[in-house]
Amino acid sequence: MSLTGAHHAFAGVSEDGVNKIAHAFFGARPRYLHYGTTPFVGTTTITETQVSTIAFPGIPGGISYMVELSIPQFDLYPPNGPLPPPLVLGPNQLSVKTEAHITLGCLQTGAGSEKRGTTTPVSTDLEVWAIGHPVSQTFSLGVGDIYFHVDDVKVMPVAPASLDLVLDCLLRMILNGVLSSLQLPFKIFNVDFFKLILEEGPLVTANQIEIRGGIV
Amino acid sequence: MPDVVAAIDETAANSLLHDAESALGTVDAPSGSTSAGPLVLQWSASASFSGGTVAFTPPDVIAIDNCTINYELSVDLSIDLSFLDICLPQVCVPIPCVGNVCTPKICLTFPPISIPISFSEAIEFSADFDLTATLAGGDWEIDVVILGVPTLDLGPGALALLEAITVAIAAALEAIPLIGPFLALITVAIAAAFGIADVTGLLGDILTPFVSGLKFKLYKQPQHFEAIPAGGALDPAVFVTLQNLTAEVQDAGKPELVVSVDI
Repeated sequence: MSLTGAHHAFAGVSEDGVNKIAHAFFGARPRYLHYGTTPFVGTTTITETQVSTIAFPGIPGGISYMVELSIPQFDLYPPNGPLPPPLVLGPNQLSVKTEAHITLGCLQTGAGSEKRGTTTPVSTDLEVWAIGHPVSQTFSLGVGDIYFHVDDVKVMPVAPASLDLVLDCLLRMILNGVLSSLQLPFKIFNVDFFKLILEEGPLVTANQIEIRGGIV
Repeated sequence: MPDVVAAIDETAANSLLHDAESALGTVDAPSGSTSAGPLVLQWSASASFSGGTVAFTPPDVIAIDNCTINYELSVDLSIDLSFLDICLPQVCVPIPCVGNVCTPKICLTFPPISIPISFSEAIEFSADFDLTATLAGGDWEIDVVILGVPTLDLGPGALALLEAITVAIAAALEAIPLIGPFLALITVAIAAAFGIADVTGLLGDILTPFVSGLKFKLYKQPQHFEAIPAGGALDPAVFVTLQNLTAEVQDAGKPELVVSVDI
C-alpha cells in the first residue's frame, strides 16, 4: 500500500524517532521537567521553572513543593507490552511512562508565638503511566505542529483507592501541562522536505505517527 | 524502521521540481566566438528552466517530460567587408601639346561593421534524471541529475535566429554609403559562408552546456537540523542530527519519492 494514499504527501515519525525527539527537546529545555516554588527554585532558568506556592491561611509564604519528572518514554500503538490496568492502548493512541519525584516543603513551626519554623523537604517517587493521543494545530498554510494530550493516568502503586484517584488526577493534569510544551512542528515529520497542508491525521499505527495531505 | 519517513507522489513532485527550477534561476554559459567567411560571431548566453512533468521509475530514476529551457543570446556580429574594396581604373586621354591627362585614381574601401543582435527562444526537452542523496559540507542534499545529453529540437530556433541575423545585416548594410551596387555580392558571400546548418550547429554548441550535467536541487538541509526554533532566552533551539538519509522511488501501488532518515 502506498504511503501517500489518496493524498499527495506523507510524513511519519517512528516510536524511536518520537523518543529521540523527546530526549532532544527535554535535554535542551530541562525546565519543562523541573518545577518548584521557593526555596527549591529561586528563579526560572533554562534548567528549572519557578511556580507559585499554594496559598493557605496560617502557613507563612504558602505551601512549597517541587515536581521533577524523568524524560517521558513514548510507546506508539501497538503496545510493546501490557499496561497497568485499567489502561489499555488502542489504535491511534500512545502510552507515556515517566517517574515523578515529588517533594513537599514540610514546614515545622512552634506553637503560640513561635510561628517561625524550618522547612524540611520530604519526597516520594511515583511511577506514572498514561495513555493519550496526538493532536494537531495549524497556524497557517503548511505551518503547524503536533502535541500530545493525556486521556488517562495510572500512578503506581498508591493506596487507599481514594488517594489513588487524587494522585491519578493530579499527575494527569501535570503530565498534560508538561506535554503541552512538547510541540513538534510539521517540519520534523518530513525533515523539512516540503511544507505539508494537513488533511489527514495525526494517526498512530504500526509504531508510527503519520500525517498526510497536500504540499504548499 | 527509519526514524522519519517522508513521501510525495508525482503531483507533489511536479511542484517541488518547479520550485527547484525557480531556485536554480538564470544560468550563464561561458561566452564564445566563431567565424565563417567574412563573418565573426561573438556571443554570450543565459538560460533558465521551467515547466515539465515528473514520472517516477523505481528505484532511482525520475523522468521529466516537456521541460522548457528559456534562453537568451547576445550576439556581436562583425562583417569584414574588405573583400568589396575596389579601385576605379584611371582613364588617360592624350591631349595634343599637353600629353596624357589621366583621371585620378579613386578607391572605395568598406570598413568592417559590427552588428549587435539579441535573440531569445524556448525549447522543450525530455530526459531521465538520476535521484541522488548526498552529505556534502555538513548539508544533506537531494538532487536529480540528468542522465546523458537530451536531444534538443533546434530547427525552429535556428531558422528564427538566421532570420534575425539576416534582417540585422540588411539593416546595417543599408546604412553604408555607396553600398547599393554591392548588396547582392555581399548577400551571396554571407549565405555561402553561414547557412542554416551553421546556425544549427552554433545553437547546439551554445545550448548543450546548459543541459549537459543539468541538476535540480530538491532538498538541502543541515545535518545538524534545527527541529524546533528557539522560543526566547529560556527556550533554546532544539537540534537533532540527521543520519543515513536516503531517497528512492518506490511503487507500492502508487509511484512515490520516499525519503528516509534516522535521527
